Amino acid sequence: MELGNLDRLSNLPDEILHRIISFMKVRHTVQTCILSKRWKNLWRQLPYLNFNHVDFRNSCQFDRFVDSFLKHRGTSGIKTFHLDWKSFNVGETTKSWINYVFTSEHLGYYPVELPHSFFPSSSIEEIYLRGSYFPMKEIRHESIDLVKLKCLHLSRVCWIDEFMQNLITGCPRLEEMTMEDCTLETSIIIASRVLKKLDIEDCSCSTDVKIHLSIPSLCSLHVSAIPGKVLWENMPSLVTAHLNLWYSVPDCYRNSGYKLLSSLSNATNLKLTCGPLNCKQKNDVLIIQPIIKDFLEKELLDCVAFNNLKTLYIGELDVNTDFIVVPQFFHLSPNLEVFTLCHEENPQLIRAEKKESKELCFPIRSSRPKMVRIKCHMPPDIIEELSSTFKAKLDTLEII
Amino acid sequence: MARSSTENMITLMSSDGEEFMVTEKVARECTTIRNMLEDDCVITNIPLPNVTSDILSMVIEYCMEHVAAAEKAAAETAEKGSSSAPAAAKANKDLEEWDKAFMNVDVYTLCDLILAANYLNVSGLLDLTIQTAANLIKGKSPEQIRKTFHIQNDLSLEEEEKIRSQTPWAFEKSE
Repeated sequence: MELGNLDRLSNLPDEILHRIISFMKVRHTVQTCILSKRWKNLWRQLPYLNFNHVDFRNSCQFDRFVDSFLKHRGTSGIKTFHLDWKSFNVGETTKSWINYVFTSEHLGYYPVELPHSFFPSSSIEEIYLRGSYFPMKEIRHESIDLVKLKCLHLSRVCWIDEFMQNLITGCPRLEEMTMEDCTLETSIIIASRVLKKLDIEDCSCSTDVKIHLSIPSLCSLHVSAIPGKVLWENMPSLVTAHLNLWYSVPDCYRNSGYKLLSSLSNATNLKLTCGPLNCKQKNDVLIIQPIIKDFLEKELLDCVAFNNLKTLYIGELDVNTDFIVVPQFFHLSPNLEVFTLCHEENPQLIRAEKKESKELCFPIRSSRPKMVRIKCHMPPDIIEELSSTFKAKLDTLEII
Repeated sequence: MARSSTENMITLMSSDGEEFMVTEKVARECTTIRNMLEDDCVITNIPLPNVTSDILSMVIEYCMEHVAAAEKAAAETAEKGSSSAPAAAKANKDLEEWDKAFMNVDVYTLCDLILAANYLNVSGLLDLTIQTAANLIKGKSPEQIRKTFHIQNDLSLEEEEKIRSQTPWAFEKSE
């Protein structure tokens, strides 16, 4: 067989070769230019750019490389652009790279200050912005026009003006948004008819800041540590919701007539937890308070029915003292199939009053319950109480 | 291959004329075929002129394994009410191990699989094969890449020198 016949790799289409070489260090992707004629210009059209200073000897070499790369690459669109550099300062060189990405209708990932001209782009589909708690400022609304943006991930960004609001209104096709470890200093309205997935994790707000969520298209909501006063509008498309009430601002879930739990009433899967997501110090002993019970007691009072609810997961609820809120929940959930009550999701958490671990999980049909399966270490009186709660004739009862 | 007689069977025909009977569920793992079935639901015989029988049999093997894994996970969830996290994690790990063993192929087969996965639009297999090819190419010098993938250097020495001199910044030593 001739060598040419064996070389299946070079015969693959450009877009596949681009995906393959995008896993290499960027310097090595350029070096493929000397493999053969087929490869000579392949790197110039690479749409996935990832520049990381650790692959270079010093910042001088890094700067020279990125400058040269952007100067010599072709004019094709950029799909992803990752830039990771050492210095906290953004020099003129770095700014010129960012300018390149945006002004030539390419895509960007960029922390810290952004000039106006960076934001109009007709090709960007995904942006990761990771700051170092630097404030974003001086971006005018009309300068943001990201018509194709689908995913926006914001991490460690501090918003001190209307930028955040403008960014959201400037992305008409945004489907997925993540805010992680961000700080909000002005009130915002997140209003969208296309946003499907929203994650808000460990964000904080100034005391007078209000967040207004008006997202009828939302399918998946995950909020951990509700950062401030949130106005929740009804979410009719919601499928999955996970609320972690750990470190949430007190009364964050009740404001101006919008009730959190009622606004989630269309969800199929609902999860309520109260614990840190990542407990790094394993030896720390954290005492949890009856936050979920208080939350449910207040929210369930005049809550609408959860007609779609099939699975309900509640973490960190004391079965002996707090369980009273659960039947109320069941009453509002005629189609509930699986209820899970889980204790000690985080093993390092210790209950203020009790220390034993319990897990209870059983499928129920509230209307005509025929089978209940219990997997837990439960005292008999609790089981008795549970079965009478659902008036269930237990054909099957499993205790593991 | 049929799990039940009620399931629709589809015949896939490779470029060299070999016929493969698969369940519709397995065939639907290929987005290209799924689209054909949605356009014309009575179709039962699909010629695939771009895929040879040895590659097609591998694609089918991959799809069957992944369909079986998904069915098993769904059955467990239905049986127990909810799937236990450790069991799901183990099932995932098993499937990953299976994928890894499945990728123990020579570079020609790998590239043919990439083309087939791309043509049939099996996104899981395309991601897997591209990642495998990327692992083979990563960290290698141009000379090592040529050797691994049998790339014939059709550039003359002068041409190669010219390219190097045009992109000196890419060939600077980083260490």
